[in-house]
Amino acid sequence: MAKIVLTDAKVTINSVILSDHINNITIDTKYDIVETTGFSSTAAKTRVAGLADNTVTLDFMQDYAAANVEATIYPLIGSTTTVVIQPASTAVSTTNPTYTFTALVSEWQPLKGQIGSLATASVTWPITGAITKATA
Amino acid sequence: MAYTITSDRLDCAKAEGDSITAEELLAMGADIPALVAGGHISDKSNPVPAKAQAPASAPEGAN
Repeated sequence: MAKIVLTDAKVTINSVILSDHINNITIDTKYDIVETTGFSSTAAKTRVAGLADNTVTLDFMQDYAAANVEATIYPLIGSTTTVVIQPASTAVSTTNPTYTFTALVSEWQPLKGQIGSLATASVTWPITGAITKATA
Repeated sequence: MAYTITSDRLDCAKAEGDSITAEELLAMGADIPALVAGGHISDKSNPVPAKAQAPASAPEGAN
């Protein structure tokens, strides 16, 4: 399996493709660690996985044009939406899976930036429910 | 209910200007009001009011 450089990742939010206005993606999945150590444990603690707690972090390049970043995200603030992320925009396969989940649009930055810099928006949205990985 | 696709960013097997039904949008997991608000689709039964459209030509005596 080849190592990859991300150049063509695909991000769809509420069925709207915004990949060309996003330059950083992180899907973070982690499980609570539940300790199960009992008195019969002899030398080490034991643990099992608890509930998953997933988030997605996206860095947007802001755009106020019609049907673009701000117009797409602003109506979603405070609600859940379907997000689909793929390493490349080509066909879904075992080497190019899709990750589909429902994110809570819990934060947004309608305006962020400093003089002379690109207007951006950086968000971390909690994922409600599981992440579904598809390879076909 | 049917909608007209009004942007080129909708991730579906249709193009801008095509018709798409609410059932198809819901099957995609889409939030329809947010897509309408975002300018990605428009309600075919509720077109843009005439007063919001630019006049085809200047009325007589305007100048």
